[in-house]
Order: sequence, then C-alpha cells, then structure tokens
Amino acid sequence: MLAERVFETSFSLQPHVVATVVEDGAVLLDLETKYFFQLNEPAWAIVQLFEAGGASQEAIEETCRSWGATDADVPGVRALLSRLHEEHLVGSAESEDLVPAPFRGPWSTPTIERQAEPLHTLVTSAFDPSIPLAE
Amino acid sequence: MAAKDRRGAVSMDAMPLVSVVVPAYNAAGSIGETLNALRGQAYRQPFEIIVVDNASTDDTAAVAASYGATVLRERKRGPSAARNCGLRAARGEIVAHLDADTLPSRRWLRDITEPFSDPDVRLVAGNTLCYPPKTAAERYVQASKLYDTERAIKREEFPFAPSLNLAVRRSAALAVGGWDEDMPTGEDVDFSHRILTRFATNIAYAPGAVLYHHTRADAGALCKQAWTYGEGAGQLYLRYPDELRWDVRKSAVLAIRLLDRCSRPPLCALGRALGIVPGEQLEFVRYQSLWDRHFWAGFFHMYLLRRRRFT
Repeated sequence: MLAERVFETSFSLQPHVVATVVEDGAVLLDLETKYFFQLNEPAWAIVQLFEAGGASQEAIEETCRSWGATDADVPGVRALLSRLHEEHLVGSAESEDLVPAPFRGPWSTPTIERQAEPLHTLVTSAFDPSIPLAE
Repeated sequence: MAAKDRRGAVSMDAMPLVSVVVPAYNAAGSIGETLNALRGQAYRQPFEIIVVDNASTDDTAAVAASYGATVLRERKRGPSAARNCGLRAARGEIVAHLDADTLPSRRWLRDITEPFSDPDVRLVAGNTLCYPPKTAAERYVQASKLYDTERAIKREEFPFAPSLNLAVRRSAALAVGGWDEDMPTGEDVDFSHRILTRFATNIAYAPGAVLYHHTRADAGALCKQAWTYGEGAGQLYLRYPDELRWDVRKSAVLAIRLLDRCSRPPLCALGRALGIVPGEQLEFVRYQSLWDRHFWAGFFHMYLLRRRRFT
C-alpha cells in the first residue's frame, strides 16, 4: 500500500545522477553507485519536471493529469516517486521551482527499471558470462 | 570567484556563448542520435551546433541540417582539419567537441562548460563511458580502460583531454595554432600539450559531463585502431624529441613486454585446455597481444621511417 504522500517537501534530481535521452525515454546513471536506470517516456517526462529545480508531489500529480493521467493512474505516479526516492536518485529541494517538461503522450504507467549490473562491474571485469567468448 | 546559486552550483548566467563542433565523416547513420541529444540538453544558455562534414560520401550533411545544425564542409580529410574549420567559424568563446557517433547526457554541455567560470581554465575533459560491451573486442576495450579520461588527464608524461569529449577556450585554441592537421591520431595529446605548456595550466575534469561512446566491435577494426594510435605516438616522439626520447632502456622494457604479451596467449590456451584458466582471461590476453603488436608496429613504422627521412 502506497502512502498518500511520498514526500513532505519539494524534491529534485540528485546532482550525482546523469540523465541521457534515448529513443523511448531516458537512461539515468547514478555516478556514485554506477547503476543504470531505464525510464519509459512518461517516467522521463515526470523526472524532467524536477530535473533542474524543486517540485512537490501535488504539482507533479496535477501535471500528470494534464498529460492524460486519471485518478486510477495516480498510484503508478506515486510508485515511481517512491522508487526514485528509495534509489536515492532524488533528494529534498529547498524550494519549489517546477520546470515545464514536454510530453507528447499517449499517457501510460511510468516505469523505471534498474540494470542488473552496475557500470563499474562492467569496467573492472568486462566479461559478461552471458556473452559468448571468442574462442 | 564565480557566483553560486542556492543549490551550490556555479551560476551560468555569466557564461559566454558556447559553440559545439562535431566533426563528421560518413556519419549519416549515427549523427541524428547525437544531434537529437544535443538539442535536448538541459542547458539554459544559447549555444550553436556546428557540424563539419569532412568530405562524406553519404547523407551526413543532409541529416545534420535536418536537425537544425549549421553545416560546414571541409574537403581536407581528418578530424583535425574538421575541428579547425569549426574552430574558425565558431562564434562562441568556448568550443566543445564531441564525435558524431557519441551520445551526450542531458547535462553534458552544462557540466563541461561550468569550469570555465574560472578564467584560468582553458581546457576541460568530459567523462567518456563505453556502452555495455557485446563483443570480445568491446570487452577488451573496456577492460583495458582505453577511454578512461581520469587516467588520461593524470598521466605523468603528456596528460591529455581526449578529443571526443572536451571543451576549450577558443582564444586559447587559436593562440596555439589550433589542431595539428598532419596528425591523424594522437592529435589530442599534442593539442593538450601545447595548451598546457603555453598557459601553464592543468586540464580541468568534469565527471558529470558524461558521454557514451561506441568502441571498435571486431578484431580487425581494433587492430587498425591500434596501428593508427601507434603511428600517432610515433609522431609525438618525433615532434617532441627533447621530452620524449627513445633510448636503450625503453627498448629493453618494450622487448620484455612484447615477449610477455606474445607468450601469454599460448600459455593461457594451454591453461584453458587444462581447465585452470578462465575463458575470459584467455580472451583478454589474446586481444592484449593483438593490440600491443599492432600499436608498436604502427609506432615503429612512423618513428623509424619518418626519422630516416628527416635525418
């Protein structure tokens, strides 16, 4: 059961999180843990709302409604916010500064998926056993 | 001292215009993704994108124009000639470079230009990451840390900012004569060296300026790259004989190293057959041997032939 409020204050993307736009959304890289996170387009649109400033949960939910989300979609938005918080991808912001974000739609449940291996594992031991070796 | 905003970040309000110069040769298949990511930068200041079409035979120029980039044409082949063409045309005081097959992150431009709020900063290196590897050649490049920027800028001899992900103050680049068009590779080492010695400065590092890069995917392409990198190193030795001197000690060290590198693959293959060496180790030493042999062949091809020509 998700709490009504995920955050008591406004929040923003952590400075150590780097976003890269890809064809079907975006990829977040946590430079501290070296984990990649794949976001679909609605999730990326939400993250852009607080990419450069603080945003409150209410403001985000209101913006999602303007993008086509219904009351039934709100738990999905809160689940995304919770996950971003749990993974330390977002932190508290001192003030609210909602950044307008483009979203062409259609609306669907925002998703976030963490890659199985962190980047430093790939770099220090680049040999993924699932990839056939050139022998 | 530059002003900082309430979140501790350096204020970008006073940032001068930035020009992003992308040299491109037959990049029609990849440059769209690069330019799309550039257009989507989280950068609130105006900036211009200049694509220098380096005598491509495909639709590189048309694709670049369709993304709103200013397209210039440089007939002289080579990334240095293309970068110089962009450098001359740039209107920005800061010129950022990236390759046409790379993918910049959203904050790339913001983070790679941020150090320039310090007027003493002339050259900034970004953080280049490889895509997760899918082939043996790509696995080797990652494991050998060929594109490790931190390692490149901290080298004792000739530290450098890799050319695929850097930004430079335009006035400083012009003051040292721009990029050396006679160097097909190693030109970033040479360029960085001239900037660092002329201005007695260091390379600033921007870890948040993340850029993803495709590495060579097969052994043939990797060997060719190693050869050209070796040629570039050979040119550097010829160009800076007082600082980079080839001597008996270096010859001895290299001979031992090559002997070691060439003997490892058969030994590891034997170990693999006996079940005491993992497959990934065998793969690594094979590619390491390939890389070293081609690199040094390229090096001596350049160093000995050119030196003979000039003496």
